[in-house]
Amino acid sequence: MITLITFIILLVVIKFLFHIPFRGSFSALIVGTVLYIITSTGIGLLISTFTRTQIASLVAAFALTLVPSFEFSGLISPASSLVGGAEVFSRIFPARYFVNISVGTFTKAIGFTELAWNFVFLLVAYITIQTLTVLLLKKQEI
Amino acid sequence: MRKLRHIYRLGLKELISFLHDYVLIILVIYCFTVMVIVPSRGTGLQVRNSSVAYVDEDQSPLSRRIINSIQMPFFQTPRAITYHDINQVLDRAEYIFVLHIPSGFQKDLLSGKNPDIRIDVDATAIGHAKLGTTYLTRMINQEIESFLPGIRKADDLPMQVNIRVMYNPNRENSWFMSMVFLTHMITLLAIILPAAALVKEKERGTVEHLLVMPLVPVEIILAKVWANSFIVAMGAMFSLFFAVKWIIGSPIHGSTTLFFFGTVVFLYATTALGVFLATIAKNQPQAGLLSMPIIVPIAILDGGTTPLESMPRFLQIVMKFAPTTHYSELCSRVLFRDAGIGDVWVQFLAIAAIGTVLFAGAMIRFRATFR
Repeated sequence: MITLITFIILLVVIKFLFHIPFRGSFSALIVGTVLYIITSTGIGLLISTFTRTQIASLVAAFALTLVPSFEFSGLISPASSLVGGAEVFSRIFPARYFVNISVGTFTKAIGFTELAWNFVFLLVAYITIQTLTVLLLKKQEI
Repeated sequence: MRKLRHIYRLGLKELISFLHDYVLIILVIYCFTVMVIVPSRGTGLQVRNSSVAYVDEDQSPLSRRIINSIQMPFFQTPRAITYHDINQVLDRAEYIFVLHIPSGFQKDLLSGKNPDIRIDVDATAIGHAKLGTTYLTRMINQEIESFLPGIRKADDLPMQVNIRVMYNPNRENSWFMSMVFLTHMITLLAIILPAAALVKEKERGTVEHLLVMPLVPVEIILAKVWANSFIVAMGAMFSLFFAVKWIIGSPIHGSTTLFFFGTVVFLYATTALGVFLATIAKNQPQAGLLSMPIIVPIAILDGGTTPLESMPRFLQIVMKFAPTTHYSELCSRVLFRDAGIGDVWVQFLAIAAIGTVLFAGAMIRFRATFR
């Protein structure tokens, strides 16, 4: 929820400070964002199942998600040009698919149909992460 | 003397609590290995391994030659797609470039009709879109020049440019990027570790325990600073020799001793910043959220990823106050350009000065929160 508010603030900044026109399907962007947010929150929960201290989970959140999402999502260098480990990271982390959705809706004027795969992936990622979290938490209780 | 012993003992306590957190140890090792090696190998701002698709409607010897000329390391081997798919693959970000050679291209060229080749570029991949288009055009032009005899070659000029690329003759991206990522990891851990450690004590109320003992705040802070610096410095040196030098194969010409001392001074500044943030934050999630908007900009704008000179004037001035700027300058001078202490003492001084300000800030805040 908080992230969604941040997202709306960012949208306003993008629109009015940088004057970047929005061309594509707004509903696609919103659905994509919500999916991405719940997936990311899921990753956070997953991390906290196997870390014992808060420092560890903080470092884990940084090192396991923030850096890979930033470096390998296509934000800096295009995802289709990544090689080796970077490509693997790029394909398994949800960030790449969200970048596709936001770039696609913002500048490429496309919507659900063209971006369908990205939504499917985010959904699959969300389900997988939630399942893993539940499984790992159960183990801890025994 | 007693003070020093206190600081030493307190620091040991810090190290012991670090060693008990196995997950954290693994994460630190992961940061200094995987997070240095993988990004520097796989990513970069240069045009490398850019993805190209083509639509060859001409199917002539020339069109095949043009397509074959598009090669590594700048481009991936081009893949054939159909005309119908052009927009789709660009929309899906599957390819950055799509080359379209129309039918009758060779025939039109030979009969002097000036036919067109169309290149569709996905300009949301901005780094590749600009330079890549230039490379692609050059490759195509070369191929056409060699195909059509009698065309005046561009390098027939009455002068020549001799290019000497210093320090990194092949302009190998990963050599330099691995060092940039190493400094990022150092910054990240050097701020997060002490910040989280101090906030944890704050949450549990053990800082008050420390304060009723015959200890002064300086000792507590210095202990945090040295212990966490020690952890990160060890990790950094390990990463330099293992990841940067051995795995990536960066040629390190400079003095690693000087790099070590530079890192120590830098760690003094960043761990002090970590402690400072911890005095502001009320709990660990806060400390994490607080450090994120500080770490990310000072790490990214440090002049390692993009040169400082190419940033807006205002930002250049602001970044002069970030320890990371001076540290990344120091690293690239020492490690790649074999600079001696005479060349980098300014950076040493700058980092030390920033560190001292941060340390003083941490002290003042620490006194204010716990008294």
